[in-house]
Amino acid sequence: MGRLPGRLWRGATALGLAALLVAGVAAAARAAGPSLAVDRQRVELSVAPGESQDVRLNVSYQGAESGVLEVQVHDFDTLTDGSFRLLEPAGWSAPSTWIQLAAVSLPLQAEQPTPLRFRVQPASGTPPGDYGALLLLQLQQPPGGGVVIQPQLAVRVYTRVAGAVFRRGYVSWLAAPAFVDLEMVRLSAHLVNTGSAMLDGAGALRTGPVPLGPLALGQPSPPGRQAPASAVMPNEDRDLAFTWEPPGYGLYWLELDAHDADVSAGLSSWVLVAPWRAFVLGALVLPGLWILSGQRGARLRESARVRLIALLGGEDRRPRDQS
Amino acid sequence: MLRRLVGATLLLLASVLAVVWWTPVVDAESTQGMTVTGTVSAQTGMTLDATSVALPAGAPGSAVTSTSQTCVTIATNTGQTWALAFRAGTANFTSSGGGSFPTTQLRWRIVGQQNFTAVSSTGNVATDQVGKDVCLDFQLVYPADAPAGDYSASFNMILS
Repeated sequence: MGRLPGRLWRGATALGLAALLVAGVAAAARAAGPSLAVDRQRVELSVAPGESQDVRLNVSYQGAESGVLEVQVHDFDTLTDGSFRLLEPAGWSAPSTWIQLAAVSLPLQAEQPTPLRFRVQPASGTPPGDYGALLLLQLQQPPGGGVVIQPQLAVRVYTRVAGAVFRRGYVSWLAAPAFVDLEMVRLSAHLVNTGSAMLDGAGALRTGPVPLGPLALGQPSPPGRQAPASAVMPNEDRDLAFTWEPPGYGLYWLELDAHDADVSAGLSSWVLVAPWRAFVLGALVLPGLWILSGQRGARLRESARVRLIALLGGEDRRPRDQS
Repeated sequence: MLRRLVGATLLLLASVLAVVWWTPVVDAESTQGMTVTGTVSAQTGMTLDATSVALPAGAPGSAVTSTSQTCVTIATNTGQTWALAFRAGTANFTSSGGGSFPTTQLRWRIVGQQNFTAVSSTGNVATDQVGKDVCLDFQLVYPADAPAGDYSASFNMILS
């Protein structure tokens, strides 16, 4: 009888080790899939119309001994949540036509970075401004049945066609909670770019007369969903999410401005930072203590009265508090 | 008795709220800071644990669900935010016999979610957990008029 717990213990240990082994094998199997990485997911360059610039990216691959990378170039626009949508080719003036790939498919060797080269040459006569195109990097897959899933990396290529670009834009809304405690506050806003230059990932959040310094637009607010840190291109609009930590209690005036001085058009919002949780706790604790102390006080007074009457030889005929 | 109960309840409620509000919470965002120095090169990439999903056979008009998950792991040392999208790569499922039906018949979901979402051209699987698996499973609804055959289609898991 005394040996049974020992056996049980050994059995449980064996089961645990087996479970760990299975989990390890599963983890190893999971890590065995193809892996694709790139050293830059965003390329920015400035080129005069008619001139060109060469770019090199490094692609890393892990998986089978060798693989083949396919590269496609697309025009795209960015949706308000930060994801992109591929556009149909829009003729010779489309930014995707400015990109000449050195090769549309590249042999990859596992564990060895492979250079991906391309040239960017804006069409002559292109108006000054910022333009974007998208490189889609994809592992060539052997044909298979059922649902075949291909890993793809999207690299944004932003080209500034040199000249007199102008910045214009506005914040169409700024959402902030009206009443918070000393905690990380999630804010959101919507930025519309009506100029010819990209509005990049920086801005300023001001509180009252005191600026709080630079703020990364698009900086994710935990644990919300993240949009890629991409620029808001001309004719695009974007939902922005960011966080702010109040420095102390008080009434704050928040104002969001885009980064550039000529793209002010900030919106403002009032936020009251107060220890509201402490107020709520006080509203619960104080009445609770008051009620309980009143109960105890009543019992003590009753007890003293009974003792006094007994001392004086009298008789208490009042019903006693049974609580 | 009732007053004592009310008083005790108020204090108990206050205690619970105090524990809930002031229990330290590890802020995942605050642990992501990373200073890259020297020769560490920037890398942003994704790993798929499998590139093919076999779905069970089914009668026309029936729905079948994948028996395994497909997981993707995102790794990045650039500090940039990112988004993941699961999108149709081809317009149709096709069979060698010439049959076809739209890829929108496939639905996907992040494992743990209740509802499947139809595949679209912009489907966003955005999540904020670098280094943690995002696992999907699938449901395919065979159209009632689909000819018999083995169908296949291509989809893209896009990191941007």
